Amino acid sequence: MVKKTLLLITLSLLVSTGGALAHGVNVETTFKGGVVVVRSSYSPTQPLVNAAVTIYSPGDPGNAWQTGSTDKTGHFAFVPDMEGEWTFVVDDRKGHMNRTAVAVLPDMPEEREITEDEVVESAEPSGNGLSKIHKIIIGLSLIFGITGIFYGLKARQGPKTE
Amino acid sequence: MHISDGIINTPVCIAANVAALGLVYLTGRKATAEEIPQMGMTGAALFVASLIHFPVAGTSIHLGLFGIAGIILGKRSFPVVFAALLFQSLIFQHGGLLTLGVNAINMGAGAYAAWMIWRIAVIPESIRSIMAGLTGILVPALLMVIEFRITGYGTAIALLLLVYLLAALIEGGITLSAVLFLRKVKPEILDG
Repeated sequence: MVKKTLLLITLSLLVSTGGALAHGVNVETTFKGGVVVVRSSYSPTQPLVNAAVTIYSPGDPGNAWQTGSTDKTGHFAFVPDMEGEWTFVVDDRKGHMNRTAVAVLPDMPEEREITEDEVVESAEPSGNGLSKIHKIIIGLSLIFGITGIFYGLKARQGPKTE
Repeated sequence: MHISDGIINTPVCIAANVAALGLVYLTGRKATAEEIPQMGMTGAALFVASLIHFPVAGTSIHLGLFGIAGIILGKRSFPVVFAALLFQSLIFQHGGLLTLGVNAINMGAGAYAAWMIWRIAVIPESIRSIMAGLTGILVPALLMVIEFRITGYGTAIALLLLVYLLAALIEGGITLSAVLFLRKVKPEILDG
């Protein structure tokens, strides 16, 4: 009994999902009768529609266990077939991405919302904390910088035509 | 239009990357100092264009500007398309690095098709520019659908062409506007 309680406490500390906000992508997770239901949104009224979803199982975290996309309300769901830390990545293909790891515990009740305290990991891997405008400025700076370098090199070589 | 990693076989992606790098070298190595600023400006426009989205039938389409790139740069458009896609992939995660070569060949083919059409001098310039804008999108979309079919997707994937037809019409209008503007302010760009 003590061993089981310790295991559950450890798992609760280490594992599970919840409401996670990462640079505008909000992820709320609910466990319902063996199904993990996730709602992704930019704000309470703006869901991530048709965003790409990739799910990784605890047994093979290096390879996608399932891929799909969110529905019109920003929802997707999956049925975990083992206990452990499940990771899902939601990507709106417009520069917003959220990676969340959730724990599936051995004694999960029939229905409950996974709280924020139980989130193992929630981050925006592609975002690097930068807004879209910052990314545009970085990209344009790189393009113009490289153009300048090539122009300088060519100008030094003198006028040459094909 | 950007194909993400994991859809096309890795060996095919690697081969496409090698081919694309070879094409970048072949088509870009003799660029003159005068051409390089044009390439940089066009590359910047292509890079930003993919962020302009239009919602269509539950999904969204974005601008490509491959027709304009083909008209302005001719054969120099391929290295520019490649560079724009590289930065889009690295910064915005549009498409994947592994599929960069496939995407560059698809979209570079669009720019080249637009360039070929632009060179048919017997067609009035306004018609040519609309056709260049259309083909700049439709050729990459057609290649993408063929690649998806080869990968194992069903025939329904061809419906994507209808969505891209709308994108192509928008691009045709934008290309016409750009050509009319350039003809007025800097016609030598179009005649180069």
